[in-house]
Order: sequence, then structure tokens, then C-alpha cells
Amino acid sequence: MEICQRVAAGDEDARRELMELLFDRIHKTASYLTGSPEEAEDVAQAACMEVLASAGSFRGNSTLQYWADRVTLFTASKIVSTRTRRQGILDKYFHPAEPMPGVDEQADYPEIQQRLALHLRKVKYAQREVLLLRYVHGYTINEAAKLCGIPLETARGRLKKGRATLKKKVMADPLLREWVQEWVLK
Amino acid sequence: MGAKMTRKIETYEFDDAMTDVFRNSPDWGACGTIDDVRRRRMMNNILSRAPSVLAERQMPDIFEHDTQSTSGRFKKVVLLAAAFILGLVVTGIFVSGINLSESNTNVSPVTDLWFGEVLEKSGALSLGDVPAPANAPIPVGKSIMTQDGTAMMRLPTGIDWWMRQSGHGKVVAAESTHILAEVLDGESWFRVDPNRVGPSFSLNTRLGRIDVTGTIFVVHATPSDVSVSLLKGEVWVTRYSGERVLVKTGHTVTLSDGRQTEIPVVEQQSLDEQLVRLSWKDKNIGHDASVTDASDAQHLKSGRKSLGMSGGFAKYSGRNLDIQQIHREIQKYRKIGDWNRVAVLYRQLIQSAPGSEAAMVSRVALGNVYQVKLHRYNDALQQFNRYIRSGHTALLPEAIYGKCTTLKSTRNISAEKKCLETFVSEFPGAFQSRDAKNRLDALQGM
Repeated sequence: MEICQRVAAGDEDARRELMELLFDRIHKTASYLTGSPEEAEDVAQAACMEVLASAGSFRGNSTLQYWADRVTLFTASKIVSTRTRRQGILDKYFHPAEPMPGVDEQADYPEIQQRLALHLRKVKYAQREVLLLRYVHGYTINEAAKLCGIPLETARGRLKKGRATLKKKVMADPLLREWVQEWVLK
Repeated sequence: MGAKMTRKIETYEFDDAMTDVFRNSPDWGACGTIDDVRRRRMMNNILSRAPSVLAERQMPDIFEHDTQSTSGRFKKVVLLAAAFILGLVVTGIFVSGINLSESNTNVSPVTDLWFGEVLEKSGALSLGDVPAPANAPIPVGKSIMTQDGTAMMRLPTGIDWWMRQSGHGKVVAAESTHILAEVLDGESWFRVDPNRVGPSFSLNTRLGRIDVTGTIFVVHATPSDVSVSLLKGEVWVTRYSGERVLVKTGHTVTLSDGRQTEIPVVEQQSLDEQLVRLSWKDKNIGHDASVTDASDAQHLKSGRKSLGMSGGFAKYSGRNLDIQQIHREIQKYRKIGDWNRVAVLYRQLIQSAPGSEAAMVSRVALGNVYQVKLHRYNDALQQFNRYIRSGHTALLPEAIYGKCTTLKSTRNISAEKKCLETFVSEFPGAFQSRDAKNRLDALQGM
């Protein structure tokens, strides 16, 4: 609260402190929400700027992290929707028959997290938001619904659908399927 | 293992597993962490930009002070109304050609010279350190910077300016007799209408000045040198020390600190190939190898796909050396016209760092080689399609136009027509759009 007031008053040290405190979290959220590291950096920078700009509006009713997550989600949804519009144009006009590029090029992603992140990025954006809040930041479904600004039932539905999609993709991936089985039996 | 594999995973178990791996794993790999150098660089960038951005954001406070006694909702309405009126005024300036500066200073009779306009952009663009939307006016004297993607700007009297990613420049002066712009960093493309009527146009760079008549040319500025490549027409390039050279179509002049060299291009390279070559150079030459951290070394070892950090930091520093060698080979074989060998080398380059910027732009170059030189149209289409699907947008117009011309070669008229329609509607400002429109008109009658 105090740090936000200092930021709002234009204190440069406070800005740096606030960024040190929140940057990693913002960047992590942006990484999961967006489709590429470049886009993640853009979103993270925009979200950080938004956090600094609206620090004065932080009232201390929630934790700083919760507030930062909300700002990041809002910023990300704005940027991602703009960019997907352009991608949508491509999808609309071009339907090449060949398989996705680089089955050969993407084959070696041995690490579990990277593979999971790849699958998570294929889940619809709205569902991904809820999954991210639930799995990565550990929010309850109530909190996730509030953060996304959607009714509780909608959040539940998105979590359910998102989870089902992710599970389907995970179980279709031999490496991840094996890992999940082993994890459960552990 | 067989028995384990058939075990049904309950939802709560799946949730627990996901939570465990996403939250508790110490190594986030590509999904959540960022190396220290990049992190510091980003934070410094944010903190250095913050004061100016915040100052801009605080502008509405003027209205807030005036309406302190009113309720929050009313304040919002007042602000929205003010923004709307401001928008109308700005639109009015453009529509009627009236200029705020002119009304204040009453200096220039050529009213529309004070502003250019951002026509289209595919990434973040800032004008005077403030993020700018498409259609934003370009004020004279303020810096124009692109972070990613390309911004297309139109200056008055037939001057189009494409600023590629990580570009930096500004319009220095716009007078009734002369327009002066400046390219400070990165790659910029200019198309100046040879038939335009109005003030002369010249361009300052760090090492010299370019006087333009009517032409298409590329300026590529790095901290060490500035290169000017002519794709059409001619320009005079003058070093600040006084040396002057006329650069003609197909030639490149590189200005370095101590010397000026003219490199005649043996073969007239096509527009796309030139573009690809310069984009590649932009990404992979002259980067600081020290930024590559241990995780990159791991990526190299495991041969994983590039993470392609934006902003000019080269990933794969070890591979970059290979890529540069391959690229030198490509240039060598291009000059002697061994196109089969060129295609093999491009494929090798793509395979050496799949997913990297160099590989992405090489796909477009390879597509062009297949199409124009080897007449392997299916292979060319495959390369263009792969680029288009990859989500990489820097050479999207070139890739789509390449696809259109390849379809023309395969005489697939309906597909070509569709492709051209898409190109013309989505990239009306691209420099190939004129040719595309002409071809489309010709196809309409068929």
C-alpha cells in the first residue's frame, strides 16, 4: 500500500521496488497467457506500465499480487485479442493441407513443463485464463471468477472445459501420459 | 508399465498433478522464467519509459481538478466527452487539413506537411515514447520507434515509410520546400513517388545524408555503419565529410565510420530476397554473445527449438556462427548462380535452428528461389505456406505475395485470385499491392 502511494507520488526508487516485487509474477502470467515468448514480453511490459500507471488506484483491499494479476489479465486480453484478429485473417483464408510445420522440428521437447506449456497454449484463451489462475497461481474458483470479471458458474464451466481439453491433449502425448500415470501412483 | 498406463486418471488427481508441475517445479524452462540479463534489460526499459508514459496518462487530471465536486461517474462522463471532442477535433484536422501548429504559428502555407500518419502497424509502435495506435498522426521532431512488427507511415506528398522491427527514426522538419526525416537505427524502407509534386525529400542518417528523387530504397542503420540499398530509381548519398555518390538500382552503399564503399550487386536481386537478406542481418549480426546464458547453452546441447526472444538478443550464439557461415555460402553460390546449392543451404540453415528468426525469413527466401530460379512451384508453395502458418508476421506480405505469384506460375487461377484478393484487402499499403491490383484486374475478366 505504502509502496503504491510512493509510486503514485512519482518516486523512482519505489517504481523499481514495485517492479522487483511484481515483475516475475507478471511475466510468468503473461508467458502462460500468450502464444510466444516475444508476445509474453510485450504483454509483460504493457502490464508493468499499467501497474505503474494505476498504482495510485490500489486501495489495499486485496493483496498486491492479486491486484497485479488482475491488471495483467486485463492488459493481456486486450493485446491478445488484437493480435489474434490478424491471425484469424490468416486462418480464414489459408488452409494448407500439409501437417503442422515442424513435426520434425518440434519433436524434441523432452521436459514436462515445456510440453505442458505448449499444450496449455492450445487451450482457448478464456479457458486458459481460468486454468492459469487455478494451476499456476493457486486461486480458488471464486477468486478466479472475480479476477476474470465473470460469474462463478461461467468460471466453473471454463475450468471444466479447459481442463478436459488439456487432459485430452496431455493424455494423447505419450511422454506426458506416462508422467501423469507415474505421478498419480507415486 | 502396461498396467500403469490403463489406470484412469481422476479429475482431482489431474488437477493435483498440474498444480504440482506448474507451481512447484523449480525449473520453469521456457514457460515462466526469463534470464537475468533480459529481465534487467526489460525492467530498465520499463522504468526509463515510465515517467513519460505516466506523464501522458496524467493529462486527464486537468479535467479532474475542474470537476472535484462532482461524482466519480460524472467525472468519467466528462472525461469521455472530452476525449470524444478531442477525437473529433483531431479527425477534423485531418479531414479539413487545418493544422493546430499552423493556427498558432502561422508559418507554413503547406498545412498538411506538419503531420504524417501511421497507416498500418503489426506490432508495438511509440511516438515520442508514447504507445501509438494505428492512424495516429506523426508529430514533427518526436522520435518514432517500433518494437516488433512493421509500421507503415505515410508522409505527405507521396512518401511511404515502412519501419521494420526495432527501428528508430523521426521526421526532423517538414517545411513548404523540404521534408527531412532521420533514420537512427534499424531497417526502414521508403517508397517515394517519382511523379510527386511538392517539397524535396531527404533523409539523414548517422553517417550521411540521402537525397531522394523517386525511388524505392532501404536504409539499414546499425551503431557501426549505415547501408543504403536501391531497389528502384536512384539516390544521392552524401557523407557529412562531403564525399558524394550516386546509388543506382541494384546497388548498395555502406557507410562506415572510416570509409565509404559501394558494392555493386552482381545480379539484380528481387525485392523479396533483398528484404530477407536485410532482415536476417538485422537479427543475427553484431549481437553481444555475453547475453547467452547457461540455459541457452542447454538449448544448444539438446537442439531444442529457439525461444526467439525479441529485441535483437540472439539466442543460439553458437549456432549463429554456423548460420552466418551458411549465409556467406548462400551469398557465394547466389553470385555464381548455383541455385540448387543455394536451396540446399537454405534448407540446412532452416534445419540448424528451426523456429529462429533466421529460419523463418529463410523460408520466404527459399520459396522465392524455388519459384523464380528452380521452378519447383510445389516446394515454393510449401515454404510460403509454412511461413504463413508459423505466426511470424514480419514478412507476411512478402510470403503471401510470393504465394500469389507461385499460384500464377502453376496456373491455378481461382486460388491465385483468392490469394490476391486477400493480399490486396489485408495489405493495401504494401509496395506490391499495385502489381497485385493490376493482376487481379486482369484476372477479373478471365
